[in-house]
Amino acid sequence: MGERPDNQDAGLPEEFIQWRDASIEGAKADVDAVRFVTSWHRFPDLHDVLWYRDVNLGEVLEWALTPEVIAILAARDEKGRP
Amino acid sequence: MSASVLFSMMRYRGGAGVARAVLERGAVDFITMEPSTSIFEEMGLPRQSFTEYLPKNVEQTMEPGALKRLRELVGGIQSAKFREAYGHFDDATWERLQEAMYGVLRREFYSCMVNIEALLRCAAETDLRLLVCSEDVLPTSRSLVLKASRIGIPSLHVIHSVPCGAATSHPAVPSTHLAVYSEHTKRLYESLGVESDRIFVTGNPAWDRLAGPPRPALRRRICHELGLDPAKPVITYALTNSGHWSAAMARYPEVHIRMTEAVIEAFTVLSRKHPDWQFGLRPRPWPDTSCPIEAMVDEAREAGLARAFVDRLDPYASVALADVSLSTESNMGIEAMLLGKPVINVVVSAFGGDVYQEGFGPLYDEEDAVLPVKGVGELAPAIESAVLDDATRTRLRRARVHSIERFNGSNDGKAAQRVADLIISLMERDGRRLEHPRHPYVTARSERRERAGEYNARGEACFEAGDFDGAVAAFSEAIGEWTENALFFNNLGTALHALGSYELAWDSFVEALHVDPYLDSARQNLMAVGAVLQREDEARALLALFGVLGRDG
Repeated sequence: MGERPDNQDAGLPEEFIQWRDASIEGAKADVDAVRFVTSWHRFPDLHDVLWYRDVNLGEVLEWALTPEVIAILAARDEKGRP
Repeated sequence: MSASVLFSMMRYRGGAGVARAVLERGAVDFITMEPSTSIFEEMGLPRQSFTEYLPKNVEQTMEPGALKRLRELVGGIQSAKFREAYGHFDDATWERLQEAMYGVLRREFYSCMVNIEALLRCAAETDLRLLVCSEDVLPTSRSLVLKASRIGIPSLHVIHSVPCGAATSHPAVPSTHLAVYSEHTKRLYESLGVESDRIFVTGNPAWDRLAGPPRPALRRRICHELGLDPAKPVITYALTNSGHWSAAMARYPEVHIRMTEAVIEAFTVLSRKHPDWQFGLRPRPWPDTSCPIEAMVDEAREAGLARAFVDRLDPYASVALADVSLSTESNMGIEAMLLGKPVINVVVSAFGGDVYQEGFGPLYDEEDAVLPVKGVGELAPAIESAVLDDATRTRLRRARVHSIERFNGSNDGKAAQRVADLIISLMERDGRRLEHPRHPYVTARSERRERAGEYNARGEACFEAGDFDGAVAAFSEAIGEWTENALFFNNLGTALHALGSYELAWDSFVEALHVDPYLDSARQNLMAVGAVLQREDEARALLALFGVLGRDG
């Protein structure tokens, strides 16, 4: 993602970056939503707290979070339209 | 201790049939996720509730830890480091995303922790071999599926509908195994990256009863209950839903209302032209306050839509009632098509047609047995041709074989048995078969089946001896014990035919085909009694709709 300065990801685990920047086709809001919903819980500080009995409970919540995130990002893109 | 299955299918149609079939195949203890389901009790099926394994004293044992975690999560979400990782979002969007995360964590996080504890206790206290669910992306089931996988317990996701449209809600199939309806649905999941060897084609257990014709008089009975005239056409529209599963869907939040308004408008036009036609509007099966259907129907009545009703029947009764079924990219359309009804797929382009083009793509292809409607003006003419035009109805009937195979594989009414076989095979370990079933429920069923066989044998003996009254009595006794054998109905029909009770014989042959539409003797007998009753066309039409896969022409 060209918008991000090179040093901004310093220290972030490769797995998180891969999910956040995953190669997905589709409308911008959908792509951003899937990337966000599948990556946020892999962010190291959150991951450690979400990890319960060998399960990442953030991963468990992906489906529940998806429509809300899509609504937010679709609204963002609508606003940005001329 | 018998092998246990944690079963979360009872909210979905077909779940009870699968449970019954599993119980007849092996010594399996059922633990159901749904605490309030009464279906097991009604059927006399033994089961335990998963709630029995919920941890005790959670206020002391779990809540403090969960609250601490939630506070830490809020802190993490508010941290500068986390914000930086998503620096491409503007501040206003970020604030809303944070709120969404807080909301979902508040609603779901704690209950997922509790469920995982319950699963661990359940696995410790039983011989838990498998988790079966109909929706493995919901937080509750996904937490259990993932935890089960960590402790070596496989899971089976039995899909609950043919997917179409937005795929953002199904980016993953966390279950270890997946039961789908047909090669077509298998390919859909393969396109999402699900490995072929995890996918099993079983057919849809909920559609088993759609493989044969409805039982005789069902439609008449439903009409009577609803105050409808069974001799006049009934046309129904199953409302679609709306949601935010993709950016396209978010752009059309009122797609379900616009489509419904268009259908009501067409119904009103047709109602003026055909005053005896009857029009049903079917709300979504779960509470959906976003479409004020009652108010819309009231308004339409004032505008001239006579004979309108709100259809809150169970889905099978609804499709059995309809002479023409309208829906929007809906599995209700598939069900109506399986039952031989002309189906109109209403996707008005101007109201958000592109919503159904993305992800999995549209439900139907160009060869499917549906009339597609893309413009408001096409609706009324499409309904008229589906009701009145023989050529249209014939074309739909011919296309049906392709659609049946595409959506429900062999459509032989045995999907519940195939899912049960799969469940049993996934529960067997180290090459050892499960013990023979010994539930009292299974024993009682086995005894009833045996008694039914004896009655049937007695009926055959009476028939051979020319005692047709005795044969009718004995075959009726057999059916009273066991309704799942098409031969008993066929035999009853034959005896009734011999007595000259042709109408009753007709009904018996239809009952036989309801159980097994491929039973050749019942098919031939229906034609024979149809000739006597001058209902040959009706018999021919019925035979052309059911038991048709694998037959020429």
